[in-house]
Amino acid sequence: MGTEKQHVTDAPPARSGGDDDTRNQIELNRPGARSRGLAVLILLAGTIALAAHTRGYSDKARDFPLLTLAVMGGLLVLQGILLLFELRRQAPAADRGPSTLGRELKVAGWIGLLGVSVFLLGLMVGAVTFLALYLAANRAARPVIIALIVVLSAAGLYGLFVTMLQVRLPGGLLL
Amino acid sequence: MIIDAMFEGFGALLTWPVPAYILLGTVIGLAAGVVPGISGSVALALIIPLTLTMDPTHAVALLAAALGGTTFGGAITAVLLNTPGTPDNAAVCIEGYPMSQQGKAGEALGITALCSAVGAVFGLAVFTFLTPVMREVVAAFGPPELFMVALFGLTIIASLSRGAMIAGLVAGAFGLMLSYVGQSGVALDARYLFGEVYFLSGIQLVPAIIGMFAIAEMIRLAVTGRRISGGGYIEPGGAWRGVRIGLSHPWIMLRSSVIGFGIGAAPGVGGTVASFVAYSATQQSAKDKSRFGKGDPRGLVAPTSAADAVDGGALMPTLALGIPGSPSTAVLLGALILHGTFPGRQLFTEDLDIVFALVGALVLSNLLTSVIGVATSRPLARLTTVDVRVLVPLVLIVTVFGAYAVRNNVGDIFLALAFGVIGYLMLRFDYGRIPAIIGLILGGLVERSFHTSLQIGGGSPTIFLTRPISLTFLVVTVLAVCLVIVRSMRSSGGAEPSEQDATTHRS
Repeated sequence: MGTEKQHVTDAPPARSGGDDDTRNQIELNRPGARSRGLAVLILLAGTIALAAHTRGYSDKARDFPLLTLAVMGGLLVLQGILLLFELRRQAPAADRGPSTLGRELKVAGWIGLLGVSVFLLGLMVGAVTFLALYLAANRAARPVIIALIVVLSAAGLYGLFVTMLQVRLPGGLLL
Repeated sequence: MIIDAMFEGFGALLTWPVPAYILLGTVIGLAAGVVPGISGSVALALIIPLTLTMDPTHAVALLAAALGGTTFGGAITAVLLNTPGTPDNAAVCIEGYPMSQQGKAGEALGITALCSAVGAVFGLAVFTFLTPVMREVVAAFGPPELFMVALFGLTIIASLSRGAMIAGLVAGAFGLMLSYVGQSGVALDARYLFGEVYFLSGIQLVPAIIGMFAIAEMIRLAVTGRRISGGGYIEPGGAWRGVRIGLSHPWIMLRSSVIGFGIGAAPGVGGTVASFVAYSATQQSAKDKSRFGKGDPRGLVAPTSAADAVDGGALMPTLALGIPGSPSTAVLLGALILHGTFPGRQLFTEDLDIVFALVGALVLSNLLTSVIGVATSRPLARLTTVDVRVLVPLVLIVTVFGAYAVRNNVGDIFLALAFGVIGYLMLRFDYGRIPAIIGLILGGLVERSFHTSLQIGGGSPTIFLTRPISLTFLVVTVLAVCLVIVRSMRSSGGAEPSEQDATTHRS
């Protein structure tokens, strides 16, 4: 129940285990019926919010792009059908296991941290800080190797984007 | 006269230092293609200052070589990391990445290298062949024809959603809705801004693609802790096997190249649509569809051939009418004008040798990139065995730099991250990301060309029926939709059980 595996690979397992990370490898469980129904509801709410948002527009903006309205109507109908489908489906009641959800939330936290560090420290410092923190927190390598990866990455990014492509990197709120 | 110009143009490519420029341009294009967000147009824009003091033929050779290298460069990361280096390579991910997951990255790169070269050479050969009638062919494509081409492109959503039809259609409509954010292409009214000026220019395609594919994939890898290539396994000798597999599908290569060239010739439609249409056509015509979405080489042959054949098609409106067929050719056009070479009649009479120099440089650079691709496939394939704890943060920071570099806009970084989360959720809940991207790409073109057509036709939709090319595409679109419906009903006995088994089209 709730443990059906997503197809990740059907490769011949020519080399197995032994590495540190293989012990942590997990499969993603199929989401249960409740999660899927919730996902459709969130989509539906988003579309209704978009539809409601157009009420504040001028008549010209609201009516002239006929295709916009047609697509929105079609999307609402399709989501309604999908919601009925999900509610009627005889799917496993159990949702994802706590380990998968926990990992997903942890990764979402890292994505959030990347955004916040870029916002506060600027693109170069923020991204490199994120890299160092991620590698250190996940014990990806020995500290010396981590330091080397971080320094080489910073040099590579600076060389490619600032020196070669002459991109003006943005500063952050603090730097 | 054409033969003389051909000899003069191609001959110029053999004089020193033009071969060196072609090599330099190819390497720059390849490198630019590999970095997500740095597409052909950015690579060309960077090179233009270097060409200011050059002879026009030398400049054209350098620019064309860079243009030729980007598409294959973008396919490399699409195959290895599920991260299309350029939007044109998004369809490559569908079969290329599953092959990498199965340890067949070298094989996938071999197929990509071969088909990329074949598609490009085919497109440029047809371009050369059509040179005498170029202007007439291009002028046949007006807004009604573009609308029908785009509408036909949208039908791909249905065929790509096989196995999860309703969810696929929802994803496609979601992408269409996103394409309507910002100013309308016709009335210039702003929609769905939510008080943010950032959204005035709409949802940017490059950050959206970077987020939906690259960042979403990195999230998945981080959650599973799994290396891209299963247990770190790579099949040996893959590249040459890939080349042989590619050669065993000449019909798919030819058909996809024709599709790529035809769609490339329609201004503003682009390589992304061409590669999806070619993939869809291959999938629809295949007798055994069971392997599609799981690393079927046929599904890799089609988009790579089409994406590279687009260059030849896109040169037609660019050089004949001065209407760029793609963002890359828009920058190329600017560079040509900068060097005193103007599109239109002058180019196809007085400066015809420059046209052939351009074509020759593109052919050489495409062949060169493919040779480099085959030669380096083994070390490149090793990328799929890198520990995800190192790969994930590295790819994440490169992608945010790439998202920013396109427009130097910080908002694009956050948009890419947001789309990364959305893309991962779509992956988890079986909403195809490809239909959403197709909707996002085609929505603007559909809306713009639809309203412009109605304005041309005095508000009457009969304009779509009275023009032969438009009518042909309408018939083809209707037939394509009917075919999908009939096949879907036949395979499921009229029911909709497919939502329960949507594992094949999660891309």
